[in-house]
Amino acid sequence: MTFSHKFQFWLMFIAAIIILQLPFISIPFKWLESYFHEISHGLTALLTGGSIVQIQLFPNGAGLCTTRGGSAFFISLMGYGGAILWGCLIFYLASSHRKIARIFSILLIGLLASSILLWVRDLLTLSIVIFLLMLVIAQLKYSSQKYLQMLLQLTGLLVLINSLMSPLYLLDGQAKGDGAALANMTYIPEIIWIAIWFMAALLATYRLSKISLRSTR
Amino acid sequence: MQVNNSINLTPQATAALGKNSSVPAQEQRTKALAREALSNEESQSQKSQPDIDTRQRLDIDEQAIALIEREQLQWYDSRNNAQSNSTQDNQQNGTNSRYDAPPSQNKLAVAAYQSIDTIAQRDSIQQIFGVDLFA
Repeated sequence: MTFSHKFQFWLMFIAAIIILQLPFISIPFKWLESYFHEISHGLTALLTGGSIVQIQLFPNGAGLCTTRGGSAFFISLMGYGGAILWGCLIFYLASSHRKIARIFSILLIGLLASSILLWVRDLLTLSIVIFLLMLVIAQLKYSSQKYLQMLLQLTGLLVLINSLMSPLYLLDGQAKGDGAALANMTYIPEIIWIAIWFMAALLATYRLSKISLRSTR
Repeated sequence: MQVNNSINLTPQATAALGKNSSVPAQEQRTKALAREALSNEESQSQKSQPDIDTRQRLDIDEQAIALIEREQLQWYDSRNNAQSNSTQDNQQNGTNSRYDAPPSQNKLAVAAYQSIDTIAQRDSIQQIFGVDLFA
């Protein structure tokens, strides 16, 4: 096994970190992480008996999901948790098989399109989601199956790294966001929830590195 | 027999004639032409008098314009001083450009809009509309 195959995951991980430091190129991936964060809030609301009223995305990478009903605890928990799961899912499915990577891309296009139809109600969010949709379609259309697999793996890692770093933005002492909402509901301090999300993302990264190593053998 | 000349002569000419009665007719004609030329010059100088008056009027207009300009300059100066004072106030408040500084009413509106971030108001919105907001 060559060096590049053995450390393929970590090379991609470093590449993803570099991409996230680039001024303009990193922006769509921040939007993608924000989309997965908000859609996770929304899908959890649907799964716990509620409904999604609206999903909003902002150019700076922030987002807002308005729901009605459902379990507030799980909806709050699954914002960051869901983004970690999405990152893992994208990477795992892309690594498993080229056909599965292709099918997953088509499902992702379906999710983005249905989000536009059902939950996007403002022009700014519409523009951002359409841009993400074009990005996934371009990945699917213009890259060969091998490169599609690699691109999807990189996208999964970009979402995962964003999910790893995002909870740390809650350490601003302002008691806002999902951590503060969970602290209000459970009386468990916000920092504990931030630590849980951060550890979960680290664990997911470690597990994915193992899975990646196994699949290259 | 005495012969009278019918030509009307000026007193000067008469005097000249008195002094030198033997002036030839050719010279007299020349002098008459010179007098005509002189009178023409005088009439032309009279005609040019309104032009000078007009120029004087223009001079007066220019003075008035200069006066207006001076007054406007003073007004602008006072206005700029007031603006620079307000800019200094803005810079003290942390804003760098006066173009970016919204009027006080707008500032109030922006503050009210931004205060929606606070948990208490978010809770009230959630109660009013029966929805939950997750950021």
